[in-house]
Amino acid sequence: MNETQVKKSSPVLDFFKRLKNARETSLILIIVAICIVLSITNPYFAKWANIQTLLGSIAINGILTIGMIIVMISGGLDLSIGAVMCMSMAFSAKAITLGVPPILAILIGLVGAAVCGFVIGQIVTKLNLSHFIVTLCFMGIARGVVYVMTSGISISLVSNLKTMPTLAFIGSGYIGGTVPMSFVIFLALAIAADLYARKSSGMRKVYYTGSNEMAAKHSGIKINRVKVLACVACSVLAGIASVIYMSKYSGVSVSAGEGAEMTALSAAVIGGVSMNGGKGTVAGGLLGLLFIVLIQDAMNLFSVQAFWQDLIRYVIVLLAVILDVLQERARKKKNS
Amino acid sequence: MEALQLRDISKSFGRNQVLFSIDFDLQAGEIHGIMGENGAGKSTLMNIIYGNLKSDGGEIRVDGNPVTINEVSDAQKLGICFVEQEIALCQDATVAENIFMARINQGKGFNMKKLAEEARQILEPLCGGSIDPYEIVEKLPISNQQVVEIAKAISNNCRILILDEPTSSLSGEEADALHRVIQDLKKRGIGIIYISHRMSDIFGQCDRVSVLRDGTMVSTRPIAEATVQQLVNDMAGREVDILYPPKAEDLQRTEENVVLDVQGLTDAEGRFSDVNFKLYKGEILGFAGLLGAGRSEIMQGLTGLRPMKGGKVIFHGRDIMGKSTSAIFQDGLVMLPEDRKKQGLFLDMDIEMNTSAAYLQQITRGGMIQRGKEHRQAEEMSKSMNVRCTGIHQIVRSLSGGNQQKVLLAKVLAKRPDVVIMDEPTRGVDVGAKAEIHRLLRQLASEGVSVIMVSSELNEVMGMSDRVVMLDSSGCLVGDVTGDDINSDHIMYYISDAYKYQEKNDEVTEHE
Amino acid sequence: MKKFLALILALVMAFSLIACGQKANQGGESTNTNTLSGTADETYVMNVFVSGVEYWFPVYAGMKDACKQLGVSCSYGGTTEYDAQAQVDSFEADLAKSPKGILISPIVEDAFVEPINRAISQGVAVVTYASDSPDSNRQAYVTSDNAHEGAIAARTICDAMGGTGSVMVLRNPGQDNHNRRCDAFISTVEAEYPNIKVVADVATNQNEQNGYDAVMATYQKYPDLGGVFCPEGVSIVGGAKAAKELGTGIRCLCVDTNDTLLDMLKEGDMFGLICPDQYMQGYLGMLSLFVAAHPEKVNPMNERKALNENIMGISIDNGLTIITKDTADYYYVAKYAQSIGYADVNDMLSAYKAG
Repeated sequence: MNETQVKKSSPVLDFFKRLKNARETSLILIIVAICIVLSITNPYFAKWANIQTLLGSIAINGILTIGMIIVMISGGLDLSIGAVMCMSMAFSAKAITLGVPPILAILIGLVGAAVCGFVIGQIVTKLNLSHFIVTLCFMGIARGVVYVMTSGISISLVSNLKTMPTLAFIGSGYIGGTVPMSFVIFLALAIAADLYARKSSGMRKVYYTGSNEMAAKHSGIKINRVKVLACVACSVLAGIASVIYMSKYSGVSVSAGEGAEMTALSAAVIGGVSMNGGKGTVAGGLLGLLFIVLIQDAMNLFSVQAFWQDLIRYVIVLLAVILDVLQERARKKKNS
Repeated sequence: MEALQLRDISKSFGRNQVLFSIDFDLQAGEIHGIMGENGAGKSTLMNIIYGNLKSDGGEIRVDGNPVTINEVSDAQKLGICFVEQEIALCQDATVAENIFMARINQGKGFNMKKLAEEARQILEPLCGGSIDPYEIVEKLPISNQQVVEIAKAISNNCRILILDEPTSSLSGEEADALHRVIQDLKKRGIGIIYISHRMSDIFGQCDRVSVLRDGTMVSTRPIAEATVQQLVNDMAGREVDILYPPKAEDLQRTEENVVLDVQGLTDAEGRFSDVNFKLYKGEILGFAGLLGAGRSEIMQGLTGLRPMKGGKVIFHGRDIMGKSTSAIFQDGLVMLPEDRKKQGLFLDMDIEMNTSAAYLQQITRGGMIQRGKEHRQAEEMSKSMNVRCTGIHQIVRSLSGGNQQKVLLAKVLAKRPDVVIMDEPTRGVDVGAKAEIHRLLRQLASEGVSVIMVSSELNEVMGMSDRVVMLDSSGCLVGDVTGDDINSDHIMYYISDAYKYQEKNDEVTEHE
Repeated sequence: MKKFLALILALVMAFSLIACGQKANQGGESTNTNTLSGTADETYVMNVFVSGVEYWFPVYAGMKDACKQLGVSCSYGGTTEYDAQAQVDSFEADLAKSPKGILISPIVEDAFVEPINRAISQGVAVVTYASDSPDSNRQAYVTSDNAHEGAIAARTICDAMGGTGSVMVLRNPGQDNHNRRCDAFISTVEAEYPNIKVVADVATNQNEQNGYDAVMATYQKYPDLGGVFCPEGVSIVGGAKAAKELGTGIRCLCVDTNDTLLDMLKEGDMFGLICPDQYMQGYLGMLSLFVAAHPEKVNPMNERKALNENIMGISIDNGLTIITKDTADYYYVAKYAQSIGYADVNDMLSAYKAG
């Protein structure tokens, strides 16, 4: 055996090597490529108004996706985010129509979401059930709570929002008349979440737990607490998304957020968040979402006929995932 | 007669050549041992024989005739069978179904009764009918699952059998049973390639032994002419000290030197009860017991990983029972878990992240991890553990078993503990790394760290420990031994439960 | 402890099932042929899908009024889900209680052919409303014509645009009646307004966000976008939001009503809502169901009664309204509930569930 020691690597070289290998890099390249193609082929793409639309439309799904990424890193997934968002929104909206001050009303919605996440987490950890089945049930439970609460009737906040300019600004305001407020909120959350995921010891524990639960336990990490907190974080983020939703669309339709979990899930997977846990970054998952949003925007700009849209969208998503897997495999081969 | 001959076999993956012009012979009715460190190319070579990989050049001859093996099915047609190290049976299916899985897969009808009968005929000579063909595999002990693997392999007119570390997960008794099976197969004229790290396997079972190092076949000897020292040197490519490091000389087993005092520890599930022992400063305390005696469970109980019914664990003068694992680790009582892949490492993460897992607090400030500190810690630890890697950002999965184990040690020792529990510290580790780990343990002890060592290799326990605590098969502590009393006769007498029957005999004699 | 909990759980489940089952009604026979009235022991059931949706409430109000006047009982049922199998199951459950007739809005056409035919062969009258099962033997079909809705929508928007510009459609490809509305809208624009182009047909799948994005993106490309049509009431909320932000007077119109849509209409954020006359749908549906269940009361000039066939086979159009800013107040469910004598919507709903 050769007594080779640990090779000391220069930090700069190391940084570039990691950059080259990072999943985000390839995704950014793909996205840049799409943008270039779109701005050449479509005169409307690169216009500020279209970019504004993109920014505005990424906020709600973006916040939901952050939550999904966190739960997925912990080794789970959450199918209930869309329904929990709707429920949280129904709580807040109902409170507002009953005359509760907006801040308190929002708090009620957030607490409702947090409780939902906590219960999901407790059931998952205490009874050792899979996230899939528990959150599938909560998808129905949260939606059911909305039906019972509203008798299936949408709650309108059109007149309330007129007297609540701050709340209205969250969803519909533009900072400096150009950047959607909702995007600013999302961006702040995304940067905070990404930094937190990279740097904090709290989030590191989530990675450890998702990577190998037993090893995390044997490292003295309280895995049940970590998993519950991941669920709570996800649900609370759904609650935050609900505030923007409610403000932007001036009310609650009982079907709000349907299918949002699938968008978040596919965004995360495209962005390299592993379904098995322990792998992935917030930035990666959100780039995945940007990719999906870009495809949708392109289809709108090219006026693709309605019946073709799902087909095209999901074929492209599938191709993206396949491409990524192949790339990953090539990289592994080269490294070994 | 030469059942199998390899001539000039080479293999490269990309630019990386892993086998260099291998020659190898196997006689019919011979057990030919192959030794080599992890990464020496054993698995690659076996996979070429079995058709999983294709060699870049050279020739394979079966019964003297040149053959081409492109696929596994080609190998199977030639009567070559392969039992891999990891058990790969369908755990939810019956023994018979597993044995004939290939045939069932071909869709030629499915008559359970007939399958069971044929399975019985294959199993009968292997284990004398102790395995029921209708049993669900999951319910069998590992050793019997191993036998089922062999039965599955030989069910198809086997003439050349490859066994890859068949005893690595077996206890001594189980390994003995397996060896009887292997000897029987040998008598039937089957040529057996036996890969193992265990010297006792090689010297007890094989007729010849070959050593593979860095893709080259460095030696082949009749077993009668081989010595342990030679084999170890061949494997390592240098002189390796195979002796255990010297034991502690001036241990003070006085009350003030007690660092850990376990009193009446009793498992909630009844795996062990009323465990009492003391651990002194700077001592290596071995736990001897057969597989399943509850050694690992006691260790998990000490560190809060397993619910206890009662008892006290006095550490630093305070009872730590009921404290959380992380608090116990923080206090300075840490454990290296038994199963490195399942309980120990984050295989898809890099060395750095693995090293920081157990003591995040010491590199965290204000909730944030200090990357510089983390980096330095990982560099330092992997250097002091002598981890062979391309850098601390190498993914742990791609390291060899021995180096993975060193990373695990780095993780556990990232903060200097007062007591460290080592559960199977050298399982599946090659000789070179094993000696390094042993030296390291002794060094820790000499620096005043107390070590509890659990191993299923009795030799290792005896060689390393200053004192050995013995557990019988029902999880009862039956005393401890020091000095010259640490010998296998004495220890086996207790841990195999023989003492119970002896006492009974004594009683009978007294009554008479 | 765990076993005890499990036992309690099982008991709770069992009791709730029993409690649900106690609502079963018994049917009866009527003999009076001189007046248009039945007896209190004959029951008529309304079967819907996604029973929580407010669209059904005025429909059931119409049915209830008709039943009261006919002197018969009625109940409200169906499935809470958007699921064909679940609705078939609920239909079977209704059938098991031997009602006199069932007024059903089938979620899909074909799945109900066999169940409806079986019901009729058992002597239970079946009338469809809102959505149909045309290949079955259902005795009548009451609806507002989807094609008519689409065409009216097209004319309303295009006339307001002065006959020039671009329009777009927010589609929900998964639902038949929605597609019919969209197709009629597009063909009407193409046939009657040569200077107006349908520039986009986007799958927004009942999602506000998608509606918003679609209108925004389409406007980038077609700044003369003057109208948006949506066959449902969800994605149009996003569309209207985009139209408001753009501020170029894009007219948004959909076929649906709810509080948010009505509020937006009153605010001027929405151009118009098309509302099928739900009450009349239920009222006329019930009348035809009653006649179907009592062929002895009528004497049509055809051979069917003699041949013991379905005497009716009629389709009834219940009409529609274009709701504007000024008429919006008539369409709030809560206000409607109060106007017909309930404290609020929940009161009305619980009254419905009580039967």
